[in-house]
Amino acid sequence: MVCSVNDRGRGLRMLVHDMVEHGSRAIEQVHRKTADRTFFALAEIAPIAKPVAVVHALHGAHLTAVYGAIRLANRGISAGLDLVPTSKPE
Amino acid sequence: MGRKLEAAIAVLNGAVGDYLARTGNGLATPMGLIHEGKNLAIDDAALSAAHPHASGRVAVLVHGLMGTEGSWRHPDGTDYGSLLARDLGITPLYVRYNSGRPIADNGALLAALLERLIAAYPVAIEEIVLIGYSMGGLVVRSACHTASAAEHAWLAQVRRAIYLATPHRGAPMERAGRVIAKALGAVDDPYARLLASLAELRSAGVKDLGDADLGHRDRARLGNSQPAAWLASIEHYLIAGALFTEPRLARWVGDAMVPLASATDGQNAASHVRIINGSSHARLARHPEVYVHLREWCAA
Repeated sequence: MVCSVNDRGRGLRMLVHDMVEHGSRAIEQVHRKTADRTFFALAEIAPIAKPVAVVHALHGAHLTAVYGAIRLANRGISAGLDLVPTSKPE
Repeated sequence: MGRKLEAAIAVLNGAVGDYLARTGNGLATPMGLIHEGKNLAIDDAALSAAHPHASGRVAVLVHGLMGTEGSWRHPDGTDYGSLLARDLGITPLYVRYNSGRPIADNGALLAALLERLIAAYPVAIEEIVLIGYSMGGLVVRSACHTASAAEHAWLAQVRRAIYLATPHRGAPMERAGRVIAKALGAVDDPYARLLASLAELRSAGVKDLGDADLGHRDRARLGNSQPAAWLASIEHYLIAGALFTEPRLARWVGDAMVPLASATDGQNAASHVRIINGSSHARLARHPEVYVHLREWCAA
């Protein structure tokens, strides 16, 4: 059966929202694990182990903030669009 | 534009339709009948209006993965349904469904739809001919099993079911995809894991094609086991495509998506099996030679 235009519009918004939400989590994980490898390797070098640990922690916090901001904006846009009344009658 | 949009949504449904249905997304296609691109309600008035000369013989056409009723359309605008109506007076009914859902779910929904149809149809139904293309054939078989278990009335009106390019013994491409996804998941690398996760996003419907899982119990099994049983009360007719004429190549490659052994299933009598040489998988949904066999079987 064919769904209404409004249902499909809402569906498309939901799909884009879900893609950004899940996609950002997946990419964040790849980003974090790839960076971890480098940081763990550098941490093996005793003279720079301490500064590496600091940079690693800062990098981790930065990743959390950036990807978190993407998801927060995504949720905000989604919630905002849900408030917009559908203009086309069913 | 409308037809292209419907086709794009059908592809989306085939790819991630189980997710769309699970999350209540409006892009998920509910199962129903379609007449001239619009919903056809299953009630006497709507069916009478759509088919003023409805006959007691009905053909139910079920499309394949990522398809719509448009999959059946020949270049001249006809399709197997309209040709059967013209030549044999059979009333065609076109089903549209979310091909990303498990085949067992779509089978149950089709069974319920046909049970409503038989009660609402404007004249007494003498015969229902089921025609399934590719995944649609598995949905038809699943619906028959559901109807048999639930003692649905419509099943008694089904004397023949015709399967076009249906992977009765599964689709090797999906099985290969499953192995690749598993192998990628086992690699200790974030990028490989990401690819494995992406591969795992494919819909339940696609995954069911691997071993032709008709029921939920089939879905739970491990590896490749026996093909699902054929319902004995129905004559089953099978049409397969063979891209190559060389017998060994034809057997392995089949129509490029479904090998001959899967589409013809060894258990069936030769009189019930036809092979269309030189045809690809997609072509079998609208092939003049296929229609010759459809007409022959439906006229019998």
